[in-house]
Amino acid sequence: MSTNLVAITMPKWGLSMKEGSILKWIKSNGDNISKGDMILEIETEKVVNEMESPEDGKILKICANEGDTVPVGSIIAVCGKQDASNEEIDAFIEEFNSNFKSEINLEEGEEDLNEKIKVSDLEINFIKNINSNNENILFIHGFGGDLNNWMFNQNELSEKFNTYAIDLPGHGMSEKNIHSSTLDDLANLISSFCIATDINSVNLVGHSFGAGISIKTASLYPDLINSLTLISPIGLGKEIDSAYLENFINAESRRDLKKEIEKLYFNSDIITRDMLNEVLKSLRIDNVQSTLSKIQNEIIINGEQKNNLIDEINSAKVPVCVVWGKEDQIIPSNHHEVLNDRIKIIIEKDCGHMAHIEKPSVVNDAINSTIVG
Amino acid sequence: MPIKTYREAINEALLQEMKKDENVVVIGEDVAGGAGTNGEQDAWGGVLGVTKGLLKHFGRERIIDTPITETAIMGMASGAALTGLRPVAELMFVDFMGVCFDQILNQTAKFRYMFGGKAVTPLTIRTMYGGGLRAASQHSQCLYPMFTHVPGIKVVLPSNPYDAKGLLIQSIRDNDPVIFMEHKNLYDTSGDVPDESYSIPFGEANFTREGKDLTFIAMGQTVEICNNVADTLKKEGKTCTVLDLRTLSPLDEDSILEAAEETGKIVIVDESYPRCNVATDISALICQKSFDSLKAGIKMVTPPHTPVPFSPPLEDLYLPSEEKVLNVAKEIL
Repeated sequence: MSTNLVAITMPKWGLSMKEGSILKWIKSNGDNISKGDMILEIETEKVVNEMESPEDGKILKICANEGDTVPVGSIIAVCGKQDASNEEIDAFIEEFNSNFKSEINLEEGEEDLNEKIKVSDLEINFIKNINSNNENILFIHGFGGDLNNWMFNQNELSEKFNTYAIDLPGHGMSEKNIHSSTLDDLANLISSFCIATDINSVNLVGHSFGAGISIKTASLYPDLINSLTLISPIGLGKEIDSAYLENFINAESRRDLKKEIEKLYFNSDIITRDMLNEVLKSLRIDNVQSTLSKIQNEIIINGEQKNNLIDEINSAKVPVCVVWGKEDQIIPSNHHEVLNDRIKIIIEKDCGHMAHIEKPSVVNDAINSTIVG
Repeated sequence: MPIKTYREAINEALLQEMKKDENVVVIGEDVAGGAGTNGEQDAWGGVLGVTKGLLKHFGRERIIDTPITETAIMGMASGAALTGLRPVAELMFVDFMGVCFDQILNQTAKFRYMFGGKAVTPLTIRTMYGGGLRAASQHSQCLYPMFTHVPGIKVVLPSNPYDAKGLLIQSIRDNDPVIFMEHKNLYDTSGDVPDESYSIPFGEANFTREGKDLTFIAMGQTVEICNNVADTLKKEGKTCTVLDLRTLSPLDEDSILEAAEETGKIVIVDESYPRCNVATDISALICQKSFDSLKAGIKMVTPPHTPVPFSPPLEDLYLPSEEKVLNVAKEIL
């Protein structure tokens, strides 16, 4: 068997993904590709996104056509460093398919990976993926998000690290009533969560408001934190699109919400109705809107950001990396200018407020190198 | 997320709203007791057990069994709503609306309008509809077009357990009369339902499938039929949009036109009698407002214009089925 050939397979985006549909091949048979190139568009139940090439080489044969829906892990293309004969390619596909056994039972209901734990009197929902590694990662989503925001990151990084992703109070499947939502309180909650789950040291990955919580946690609990990877963090400047938060909380319909969610992305084609429905489902639970309003008041005062975390982030004793979409419409990316040169800064072009969804490989590489050094 | 049946979802909505608001009361035939029981300890909770268990939480003060008179149930509930309670009245089978329709049509539905906006009537009427239970012509009808015809009544047809809970909570909290229609065949279907209370606003249709080749428009039980047909067609390489209307009054016209324009080929599946029903109404809407987007004549799958047959083979032939919907879809694909 030739070692030249490599299978490109249907990726698993998020822990619940079972199958994906090929929307469009961006590259064709015979095209040269390098790692990180966008090679095709895939649609899942939750999202439409472009898949980046995992390999350098040439696409020798596309095995799943536009419109096809295939299980996670099945072969969608054959890639090689050099050309190969049709016989070789067909033999390779045959061998791949004879060894491929989908671990996913499409008929079965979704396996529920969510766990709940009582932390500071609040029921907190989380998903963990433990592979007995030395380093732990804890993902903290932003305002109005939930742990599913890390669908392109948690799974990827679980190969090398123990990963945890939580739903903040008032979000996802965590408790909806909270008394107080200051950054200090939420940093305390993160520390209590780590104690409750036996995490002694952790690498925090935070987005936006979750990045603010991460900075605060590192400042209050320096012994707990090994590194920080922050995506579009709050707290580094005054400007923020305060109307976004207000309109998000009060969105009545899918159409209202879509207008707001579009501001999060550089390329709003990524937004599906299912994605909007998931957000609406959460917003419509009793007390969610009032809890989000409380959090909004911790983020914004008189139309500007309330928190100033510049000193805390610049004085952090651990490796810090900040990733920002250049076209971020919620918090402007030029806020990075206040950071000192000890902090690694990545400004990603063609990318909005959700770099972890729009440019997952950039974010995943950043997290990896921040932890590993 | 917890999996619950449609029946459990409705029961949980009632339980949570009754706990939250002491003005919510349940009124109907056998809602506490039921045939063959002593009513108190092991109450049936209605003919199909939907209100089972509520009696022990709220007692006979709030779970009110009535005599067999729909006229009295609706009169009592409308008056209670006008004077400050938030009643949930049960009309066991929608077929029995004949004897209480004046209360609904000429009284309840008109109060807000005729009292110059000063009267509110926060009444929810729960009722069962639909065929398939071999229950013959007087216990199998849909009849929702008769309610959508009347201004002043909101008409809700949940198609799944998640929607059933959220839409019933919304119905109870709403300050106008709402008729909440439960298809008998759906009670044992199950799906994800959060434990928390939540509400789904009226007038927002739900896309349950998305596709490029054809659009199904459905309501209540026909949503599942269309979902299954869409899944079958997907295996044959055709993708379909399925739009679940969720509420017939108010009607989400924007989503209907959006769904129609996405594919230009439309099949509407409605289990009610075919003259002046929801399918004809939506067909007219699309023709008036979006004619240029149509790539084929609008198709409807409905029963024939006859009473629902008692004979099982005839009833099966009468009702919209996956097979019929699939065949009609293929005519225009």
